[in-house]
Amino acid sequence: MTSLDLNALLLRPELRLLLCVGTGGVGKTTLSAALAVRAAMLGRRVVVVTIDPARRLAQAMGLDGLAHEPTPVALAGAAGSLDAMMLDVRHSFDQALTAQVPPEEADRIRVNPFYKALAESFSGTQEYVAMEKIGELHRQADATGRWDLIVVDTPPSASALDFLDGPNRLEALARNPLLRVVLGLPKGPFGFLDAGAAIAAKALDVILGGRLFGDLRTFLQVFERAVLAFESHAAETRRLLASERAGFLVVAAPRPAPVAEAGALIDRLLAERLPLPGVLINQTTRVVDIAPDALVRADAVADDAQRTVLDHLRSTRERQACELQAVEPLTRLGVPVAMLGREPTGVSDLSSLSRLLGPEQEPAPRGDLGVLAQ
Amino acid sequence: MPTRCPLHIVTGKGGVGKTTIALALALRLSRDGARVVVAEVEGRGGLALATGRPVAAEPALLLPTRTGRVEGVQIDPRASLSGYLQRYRLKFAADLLQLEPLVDFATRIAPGLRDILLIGQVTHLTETHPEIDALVLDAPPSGRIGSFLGAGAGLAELTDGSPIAAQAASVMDDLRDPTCRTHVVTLLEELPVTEALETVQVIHDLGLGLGTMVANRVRAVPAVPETCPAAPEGIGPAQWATLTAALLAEADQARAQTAWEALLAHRTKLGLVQVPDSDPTGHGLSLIADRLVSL
Repeated sequence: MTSLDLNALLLRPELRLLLCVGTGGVGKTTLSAALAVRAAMLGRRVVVVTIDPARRLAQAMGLDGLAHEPTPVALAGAAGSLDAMMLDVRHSFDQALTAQVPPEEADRIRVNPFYKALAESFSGTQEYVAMEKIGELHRQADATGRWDLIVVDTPPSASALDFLDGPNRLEALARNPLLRVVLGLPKGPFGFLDAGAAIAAKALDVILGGRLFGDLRTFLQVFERAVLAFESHAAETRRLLASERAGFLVVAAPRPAPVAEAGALIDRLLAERLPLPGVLINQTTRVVDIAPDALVRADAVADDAQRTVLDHLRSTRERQACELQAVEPLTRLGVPVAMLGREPTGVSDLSSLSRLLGPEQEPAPRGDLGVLAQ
Repeated sequence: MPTRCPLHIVTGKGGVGKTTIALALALRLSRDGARVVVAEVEGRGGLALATGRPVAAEPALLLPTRTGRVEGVQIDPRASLSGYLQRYRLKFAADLLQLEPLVDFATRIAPGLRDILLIGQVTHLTETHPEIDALVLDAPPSGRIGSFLGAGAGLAELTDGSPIAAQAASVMDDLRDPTCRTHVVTLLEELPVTEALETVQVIHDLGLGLGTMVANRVRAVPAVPETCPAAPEGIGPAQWATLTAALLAEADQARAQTAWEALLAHRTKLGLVQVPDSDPTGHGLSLIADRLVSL
């Protein structure tokens, strides 16, 4: 197993964008906040984009209000700076919409059931908007120099791969030949579908009923414009994600299901030649490093109270062994791995966040909590 | 009128072990000789991953059992639309299904349509397979469960008079039937408990029946010596201090679970079943099933 040096990664000068990807419940949001805090401590000028953070994490980050724009976070002793923002899909979508259509039309479309579904529950929208925001922040960073590192938490999707697939899904929807037929637009290169698509439009009318079908028409007229406007930036963001300026950190937990999802995600990132500096295995059990022979000797002389402590060490080791077995499919890939433990006191402030990532500079003294057996 | 087949919906925050609990529940139900089908709707392949067996559109054996039978099925939107069109004998069905863009479009963009079709296909399983005794739905996580289970109510309103409105209304009837219950899986930690409480409220507001709260991966409180012992020979004082601190911290964390459990009991009327965190590699479904008696 190659171990991932997070401090060195955060200090890579060419690194401008770090994305935490992974399945739900593994701690992506917390770890992206932790990475942002650590990077700022180390001297980077950071903006972190979080998605739906838990109240306590938001409070720890000073994001009590609804900060949809980057907001400075006070960080004592930081060599750099930290800004934080929450991504609000509905808000960002509304902004894009308002930019595309006259105000009265925007008001009408906001109550359209299709628009609401798209802005609130369509799988792909959140990813699309996150991608948009990344591009926007990066352009802003280049133009103003306010940040030199963007850390991004990715949406809690059904599948971790959705972050990569979601944006394409929204575009595919906008380019749907059926849409063009429904709109009565020129049909483009999909000629062979025309007859069928006309039937389809009629079928949709029947299935959905006249009122909803009318709503659909109204919605599609605006939707196409909005997505095509978004699209002009999409290619640029995709190039950024594939460049040395970007890095995907795959987050997993030491259990079979998250490990399998992380494995699939890693395969995909490698296949698409996207930069993958490492894997973070979160929520692992930490074990105090004591030589086996010392333990045997201690066991021989221990009284009952001492044995209680030693027994606990043994059960912790067993748990750790199970975890190491569970994560083996990830550690054997040759991708650098960092094992992260739980913060025993919970995440209550910014320094406890940073502690999740282990020591800031010097390695922990031998015997301290921290390093898992290699 | 034949007795309805019970439908157990299993939800919870991402990562709390919904699929494991859904499988253990199915195993539990099969012990009375029942034929149980576990359905998944999000195409993640979670059932196949957990059991090592292929899961497709037709129910197929999922778990080895001594009595009864546990089968798995993956419900996908396309097959659901096809099933729906066939059931309603819509005459353009054949033409329609050849149109990938339409299927894609209809199941993605129409608000709630996809969810209605998926749930409709799950409940329809008991009509196409009358030998099924119970259904377990490995449902979307609690963040999406409200829009998933509530899709019918919204769509019925939007589409009044159209065929899909009938489908939406019938789906809501099925979900509100007393034989259908939603179980919420959680961990005894702050975020999962908070989300579990929100979920209970959401399910209640939708007028759906609630089942049991399952506290998964509950950690035992380790034995702690009454006074902190000195380091035994061979272990340095610094190492020993770290060891004892780790033990005390873990005991504290394990005890804190009791407070979250109390909050759940105080804020909901649901029965609570605890599943111990015995095996982090995720085996031992049968042991978990033992715990689920009261579901």
